[in-house]
Amino acid sequence: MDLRIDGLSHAYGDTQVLDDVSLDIPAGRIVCVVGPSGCGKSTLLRMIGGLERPSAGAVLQVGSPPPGSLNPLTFVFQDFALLPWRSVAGNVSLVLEDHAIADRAARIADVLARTRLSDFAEALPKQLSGGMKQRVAIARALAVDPAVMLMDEPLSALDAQTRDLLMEDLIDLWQRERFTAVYVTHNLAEAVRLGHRVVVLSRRPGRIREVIEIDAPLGTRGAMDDVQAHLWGLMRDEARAADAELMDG
Amino acid sequence: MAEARAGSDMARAAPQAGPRPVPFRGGGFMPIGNRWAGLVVFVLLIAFVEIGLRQGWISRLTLPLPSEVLDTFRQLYVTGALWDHLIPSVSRFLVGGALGTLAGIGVGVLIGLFGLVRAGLVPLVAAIFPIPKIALLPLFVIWFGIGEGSKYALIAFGTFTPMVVATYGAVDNVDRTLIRMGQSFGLSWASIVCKIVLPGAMPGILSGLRIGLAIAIILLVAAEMLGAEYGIGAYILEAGSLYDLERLFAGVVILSVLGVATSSAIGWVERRVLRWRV
Repeated sequence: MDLRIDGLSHAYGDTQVLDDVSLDIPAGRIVCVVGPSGCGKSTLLRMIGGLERPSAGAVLQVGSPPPGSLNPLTFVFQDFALLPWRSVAGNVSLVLEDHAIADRAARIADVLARTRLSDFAEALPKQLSGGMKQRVAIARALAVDPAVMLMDEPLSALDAQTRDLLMEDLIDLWQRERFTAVYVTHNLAEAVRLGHRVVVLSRRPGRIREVIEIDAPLGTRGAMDDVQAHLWGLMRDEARAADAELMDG
Repeated sequence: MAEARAGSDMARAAPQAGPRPVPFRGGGFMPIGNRWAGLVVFVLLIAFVEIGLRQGWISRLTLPLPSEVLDTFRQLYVTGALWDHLIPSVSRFLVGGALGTLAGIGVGVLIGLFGLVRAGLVPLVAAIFPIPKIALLPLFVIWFGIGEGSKYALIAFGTFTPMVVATYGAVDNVDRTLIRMGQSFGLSWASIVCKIVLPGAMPGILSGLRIGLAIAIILLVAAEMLGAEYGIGAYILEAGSLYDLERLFAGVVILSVLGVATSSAIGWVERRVLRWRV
């Protein structure tokens, strides 16, 4: 299943946050969205996932989701969004309980194994490190067989080393499963390591400034300093302006 | 004091001082208790009163001898009168408290979830919260009769309002990102309420329950004083009108024990249900 974003615009009151964003998200690829803070990246992602209604334009599903997908558009949140009163297995179970599937326990065991969490199935979130919590959130997302993963700065709440480890996990996972993802981040290093396509949004209102295709295969990429430098050149002034801005309201 | 002096000493002596340990100043402000401290306070206080009365430096008119209160209590137990009073009281407390708690949680959740219910009911709850519920006992007697019904209603009504306020506050405080997460996984409305909103509101609901049940005990006694043959309130009222301080205090001790038992029961539930809390 592909996604097509068609002329998406959005305003909160008088503040225009997104302006005429059009974008294709092809199946089996990771599309990274980068931009300075306040460019509407997260708003865009919430609209793609149907959590927010755009003022104009539409998000279209092209083709049908793979059979057996319980929740085609599945989020991975920055702050993990785990239920603190449920164990690791319980958090995965939560998203399966509304579906009549026969092999729930087997399915939970399978995704926990894929994210190397099998030994921690009965642990509570408070016992886990940040990186483990995010792996639980990824396991939960995998459990519903998503057609597209919508990742909202999934590594931003983690320290640099954990972030590197988890990024390697994500690359491994993609090489095995070729999932489709929209990956929102403000970290350019993450964008160039994970993205097949990097979309640069401008500051408010968010418009597409440039779309960069990166052809190098995911597993063998280095830091790609030249691409990062190019992206940073696009964003630098706006990031500075965003930083100097006062919060309104 | 000692730390403060050490600090200023260091400031004064700084230029010529050799190596010395940095003074510790991070202590205090961490109320870590000792589980026996509460019991020791009780025992000391009772011993103080007993000795004071026997030695005569507390007048016999002011307080009964603790040992005689204990003896009264023993007689109550031996004659079986204890159960005659305790069983009706505890059953009124349980029935009334349970009705009020369940209704309060239900209405509180509705106020927390639906804007229209909130707009309609929050002013009403604010209007009935400060009414001393005991003033309404005559009304409940007319509605529910002179028997148990009016007492259940009074206790339930008294528990209801604090439970409503605590519950909708707790529902408001449930992490919105968890609810968004539930929606993003396509959970049904009922699942979101039962598996995310209610467990998330549980800490606030349980602390509301502490207040609600304390109010229930107060109203239980008040209702029994105003119209009951049996019950701890009736027993205390009878003893009080005869100025029988031993029996009066025996009744008060039963109430205190009921309060402590309720509080530790809630504490036990909290430890079990809220084990997930950081």
